[in-house]
Amino acid sequence: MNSEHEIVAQVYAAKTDNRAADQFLRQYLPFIKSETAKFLRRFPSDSDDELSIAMLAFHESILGYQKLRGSFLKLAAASIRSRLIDYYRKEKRHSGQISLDAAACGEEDDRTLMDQLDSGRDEAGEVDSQVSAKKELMEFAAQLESFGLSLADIADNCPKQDRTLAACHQALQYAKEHPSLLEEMVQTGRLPIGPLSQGSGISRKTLERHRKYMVAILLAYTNGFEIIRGHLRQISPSKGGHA
Amino acid sequence: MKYLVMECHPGYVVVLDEKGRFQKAANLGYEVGQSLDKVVLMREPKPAVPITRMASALAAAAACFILMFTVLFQGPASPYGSVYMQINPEIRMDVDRENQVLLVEGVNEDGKELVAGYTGYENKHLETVADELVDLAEAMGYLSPGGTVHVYLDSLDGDWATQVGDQLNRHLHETFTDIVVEVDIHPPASSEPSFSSAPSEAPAAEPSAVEILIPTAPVSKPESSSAPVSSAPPAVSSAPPPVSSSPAPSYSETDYGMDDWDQDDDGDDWDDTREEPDDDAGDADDPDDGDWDGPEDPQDGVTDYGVTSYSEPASQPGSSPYEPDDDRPDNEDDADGSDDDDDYDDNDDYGDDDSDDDDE
Repeated sequence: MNSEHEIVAQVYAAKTDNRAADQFLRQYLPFIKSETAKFLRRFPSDSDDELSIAMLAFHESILGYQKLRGSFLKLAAASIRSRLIDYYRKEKRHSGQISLDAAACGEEDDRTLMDQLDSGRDEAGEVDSQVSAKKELMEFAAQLESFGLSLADIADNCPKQDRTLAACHQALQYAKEHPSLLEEMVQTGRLPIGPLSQGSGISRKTLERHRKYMVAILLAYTNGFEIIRGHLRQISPSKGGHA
Repeated sequence: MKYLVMECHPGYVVVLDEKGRFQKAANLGYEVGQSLDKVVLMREPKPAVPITRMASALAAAAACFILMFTVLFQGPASPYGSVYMQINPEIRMDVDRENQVLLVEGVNEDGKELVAGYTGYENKHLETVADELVDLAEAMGYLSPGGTVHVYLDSLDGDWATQVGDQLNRHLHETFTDIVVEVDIHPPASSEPSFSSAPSEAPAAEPSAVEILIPTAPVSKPESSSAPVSSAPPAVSSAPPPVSSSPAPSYSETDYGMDDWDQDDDGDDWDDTREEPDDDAGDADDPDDGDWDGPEDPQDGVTDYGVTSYSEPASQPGSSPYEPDDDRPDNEDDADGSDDDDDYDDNDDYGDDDSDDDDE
């Protein structure tokens, strides 16, 4: 285990660098598993939801950790525990006792109960669309990377407040109406803040602050990302009803 | 609300909701491209965090300000250190860091009398004021040639106390050749009520108290000048010839006379304790010492040890400062009560003391 000092350094690096965060988490996965085990009273398997929750909690701890507050691992442990309790309470209310991810008996190909459920959806169809969505999203991520962005970064940069989100969408709307801006962005690799700001009336400061998000959302409205756009049907004010 | 899984990481996934928000959520075994109805979103770290940092920074800044103000705007009651001068009358001079005098106060009766008319000293340098007070004491008869002035310094800053004690010692020594200056550094643990009260006034009242004993005995004690930090300031003890600041650190033992003497002279107390090298010193109880003055000097405080009984001039360095001191021990021995009285009463006692010299 690292010294406390090293841990702190790693945490602080992970705060801003998503890749470092992933790496840090992988390094401490055993720790996370053991903390989860304390809660579950059995060792978690990789498919356990609780483990995923615990990992999310670990990430939250990274973001929320302050050096002055003491040991990171203690915070992480506390955070994991609290998250697991919340999740457990919530889940207990809804579901039955069995985890839907539990292996269905008799199945040799690792299908889970959930897989066996007839949800009434066209699962095969969904799988198909999922596959194509995956393709599209991989492309999306790749293009973002050419801008020097990762999706995790964008998630960090996304406006939290509705008001700000709406403002960004206003700028998006302007861009949609002026596709040349979108092209310009794709070609130059930079967000045309000036024209966007002027055209949409949104302050430069706001756009600057959420630059990464703006790039992503504008990119979604360039060619090739129908699925994403389909998903975002609620954004465009001009579109009424369902897309 | 539907969530589109955009990217998977070990600890989370990035989802896009229908409203165009990209967010991190728990990765419950998802795959990219999956559309979810429900997700466990990552919680934002409490915004209180930066605020906390700011709050602590603010609190720290506020504390600094308060401290600064306290330090800068210290009222007269909060000097950097205090210098007590005790002849018989005992006075205290509160000084600031620059050794400018902030306040002069009489600690005992005589001291109060001494400084009664003394004004205009604010911001004068410590040495100036000390000079003036010694002059005043001489003029008023509290201090006789060959007398001892006991100086005691009190401050949180031990170095300051030592340094100022030395400086003052030297200065007084040079200025007043016919008196003996003794500097002592001692924690203000003296039983003297006056002492104890004094330190409490200074916020910094601290262990580093330097007492300068200026024996009023005819014999000047050379040692006294070199005795910083040594003996406990006998505060008020009947200043028996401050033989050397040596010993007598036993302030505690010294009852300066609270018990013994009813006299007012606190000053008397000093020496007893101090000097007795030969004695077991520490007989702090010499309150009697004070008595010595009795005979000769009207001022109790001024221990004229030498004056009366010893013919030795105060300038006798080397010789046991006051013979009386020597005697003192004896006296003390005797005095367990009875002698004391004697001392008070007459010079003869001193004389006796002289004889005691032999004891030495």
